[in-house]
Amino acid sequence: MRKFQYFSHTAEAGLRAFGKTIEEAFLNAVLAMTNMLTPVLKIKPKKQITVRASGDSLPNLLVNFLNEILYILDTKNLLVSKIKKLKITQKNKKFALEAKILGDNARNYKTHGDIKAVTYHQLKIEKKRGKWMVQVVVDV
Amino acid sequence: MDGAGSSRCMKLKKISDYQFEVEKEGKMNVPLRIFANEEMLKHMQEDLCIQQGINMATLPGIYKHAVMMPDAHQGYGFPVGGVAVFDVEKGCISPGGIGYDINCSVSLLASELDKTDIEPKINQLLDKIFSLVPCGVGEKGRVRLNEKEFDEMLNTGVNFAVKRGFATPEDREHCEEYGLMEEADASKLSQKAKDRGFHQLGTLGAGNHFLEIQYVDEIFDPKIAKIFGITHENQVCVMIHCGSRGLGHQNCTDYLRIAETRFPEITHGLVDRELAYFPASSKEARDYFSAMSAAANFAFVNHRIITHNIREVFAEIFGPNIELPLVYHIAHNMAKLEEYVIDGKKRIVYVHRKGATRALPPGHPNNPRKYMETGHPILIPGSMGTSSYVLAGTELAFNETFASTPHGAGRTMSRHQAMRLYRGEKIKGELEHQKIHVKAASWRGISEEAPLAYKNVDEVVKIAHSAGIGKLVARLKPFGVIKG
Repeated sequence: MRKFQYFSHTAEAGLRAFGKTIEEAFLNAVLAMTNMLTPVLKIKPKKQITVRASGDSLPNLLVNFLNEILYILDTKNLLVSKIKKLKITQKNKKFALEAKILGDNARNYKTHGDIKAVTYHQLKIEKKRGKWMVQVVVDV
Repeated sequence: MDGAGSSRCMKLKKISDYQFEVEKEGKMNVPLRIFANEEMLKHMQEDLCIQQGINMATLPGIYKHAVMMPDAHQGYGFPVGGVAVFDVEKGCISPGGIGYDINCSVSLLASELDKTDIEPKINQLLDKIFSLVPCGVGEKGRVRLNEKEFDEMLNTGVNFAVKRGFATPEDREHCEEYGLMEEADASKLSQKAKDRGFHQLGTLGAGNHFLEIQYVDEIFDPKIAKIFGITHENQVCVMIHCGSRGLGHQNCTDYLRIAETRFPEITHGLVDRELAYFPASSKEARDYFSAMSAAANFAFVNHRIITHNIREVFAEIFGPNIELPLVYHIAHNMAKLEEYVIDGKKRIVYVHRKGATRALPPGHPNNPRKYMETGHPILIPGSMGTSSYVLAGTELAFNETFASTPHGAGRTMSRHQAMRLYRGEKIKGELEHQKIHVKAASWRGISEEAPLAYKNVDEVVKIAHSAGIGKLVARLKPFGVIKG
């Protein structure tokens, strides 16, 4: 199964990520986003950080989680290449996510471009034929 | 709103050769006025920007007409190249109407040197600037402030830079808003926004941000050009294009989230979720404006620090007496409180300019003293390796576009497409064939920013000039480019 793909948007950049579970799709969305900046497969998983996010829907949770990854990139210089133990829970109408993310210092890699933020544009999560798909557009 | 498809079915009424209108109908509160020629209008119909312009016109408290510039293209909520003006009580403030990169802006420095003085040392110049002005992901600036100083900088803008010796009082005079959005309140920024920006002062960023060494290619209006400090062809200038970095981006993210969660009834009622707004009279609107103003001040100071570093490099290479005065620093993603006469009454309004530039006419009191007779300079950068332009404001713009004019070239294709079509090394080779030296953090950054991925800036400014919303003053061409 393909992990992620990109689609065109005039000024921004779109990505779709896939998974057998929603957690896997979220994980692949992070890899897709990192891969926009530098080949994600080349990033060594040297450092680990625990990340948490919340949202009042799964799509909002996705946006908030990916924005958290951008925050970590800007503040800790961490490019994420691997995620362990990504767990999504729901209590009442609130979704929460916790994950252990692994990666390396951005300065050790040649990067291109800049991702300013993850938007709500064309935000979609769907499950078709047993496969989850998440879609976001990022402002570059 | 579905982003797929195009605006081909729009009913467009021709007002003149350079003005078209979508008349008020359905949920629109005002018409949409588009400044373009027929050709540019066809391009606009290839994406959803006109639909976005129509959606802008549905927002509450909007005045007169929503406006689209000749370089408009699809954006987030508002089109890039969109202008909309709202009542301060009954209207709204929409973070998407400013954009993620708050105060993405352009500074122009003019030197007394000629291209022939610089050319023998252009690579040395670019290398040195590249080392002092970080660009690219993860790069940190050289300026280190503590938290208290950082807040002071956010609240006082270029005054802080002057106090610390990064800028002169003349620099401040030649910044939009004199380098200070007075409504700024650093406490309205989240800690996350401040964390993201904390080490980024003095950095260029990446994407379509750049720094160019340019020369004056042609002067269209010598009298205005001279007042601007542009005196002759081949005069060397430096152009800086960047914004509020991660701080501004995070601030927009934060407040969009607040808009969604605090006003769900508004968001759910919108024709497009991305138009999420704060009612103008709400506390959240005032908080957003204060936070946005602080982010804008970050960008003002960022430019001044980059300018300071560039001046250091020029002094090192060309001698300490070389001056690089600031012609002007102008924003193209901002909301402002400005005064206009609307329906016969003087009103202070919220002006949203997203990918559009302020263009005050001659005589407007907010012009710096030096530019009172001409109106302040308008700086329109082209895409990488193409021309940039200097214009002056007009009365017509003041009356028809709320003193707004285009900001640049506008994209025609996605970065994804551009990357597939254009190889970075080839583009670099082509630019060097045109004697444009490029120093970039990556090849891919170059291919994504390929000139053909953008509209033709020459056409955009020609339309602006012909439409009367900007007066051509000079054309600049690059011979050195730095980008992330």
